[in-house]
Amino acid sequence: MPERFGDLLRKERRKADKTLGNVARLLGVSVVYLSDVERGNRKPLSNERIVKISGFLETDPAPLMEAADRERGFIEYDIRKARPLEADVVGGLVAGLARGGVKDDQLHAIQKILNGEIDAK
Amino acid sequence: MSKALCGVRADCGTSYQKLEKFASLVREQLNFAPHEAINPLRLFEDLHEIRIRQSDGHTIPLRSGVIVLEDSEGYARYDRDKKLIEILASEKIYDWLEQGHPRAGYFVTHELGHCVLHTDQLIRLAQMPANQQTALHRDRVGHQPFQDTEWQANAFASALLMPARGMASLEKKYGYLNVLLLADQFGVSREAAGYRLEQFNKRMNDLLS
Repeated sequence: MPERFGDLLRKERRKADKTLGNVARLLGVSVVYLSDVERGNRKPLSNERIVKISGFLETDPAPLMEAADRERGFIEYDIRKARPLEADVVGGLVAGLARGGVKDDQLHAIQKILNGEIDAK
Repeated sequence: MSKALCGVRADCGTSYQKLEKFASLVREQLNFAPHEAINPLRLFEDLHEIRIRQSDGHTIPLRSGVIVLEDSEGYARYDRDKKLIEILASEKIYDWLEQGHPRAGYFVTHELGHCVLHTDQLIRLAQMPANQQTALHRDRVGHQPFQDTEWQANAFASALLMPARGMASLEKKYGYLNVLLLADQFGVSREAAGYRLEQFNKRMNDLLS
């Protein structure tokens, strides 16, 4: 079973020898709030906060973000910060999915490209 | 630290000698040497490294947390949904842990005593309706100190904070042992050091065997 966001955060925090108080002060939140997040009683932190913590703990933010995405049930992605091509592709795909207009064979093709199974060129 | 009984009857009576052994095992799991002062903040943050065993041999995870509490320092409890035992501290206790206040160290080791010694009782308590829990806590008569949950947790806390082996090695090093030396070496209050020293002088052979 994949590790819960809160458990992973606590593990990374203690690996870096930081306390709840150290990280709560870094984020400007209360110790109770951060403890609730680690105990799984609140939603995972935003990606922005995860990046901030990861810098402080000197760890890779990707596993924390993946765990957060799984628990939120959606992926945080700011299209305003994307490159134009990226915004076009992601925006088009998400809009298509939302309208139910993307067919299975199209999704399979995208999946194969992402998995490196076929050359996109 | 009071000698009056304020807990409920524990499942098993426990001797000072047995409590010393339990505390020594916990120290080993956390890599604290007998003469070393426990860092209570580190202990609280790393509670998940301690393995708690039920009487049937099952291992239960242990966690710590900080919650909003107005009228209590905190408590240990079993979480039925997550199937783990938590020591939950108030913000005030967490502040004290960060400041190195001896009371906070006593709180964590005392609650850890409940987790280690009264695991089955914590689990049963979590399954009781609130009115039964209250009734259980009201029934505080008819048992001896060594059977009392609070007495046991207090004695465990003392043994964990000030191990008899560590006290003996201090006595050997300095040629004497007193309240100030104990309080300074182990980062505890003078009251806790005085109580422990009294027990140590009375039961030295048992505690060191």
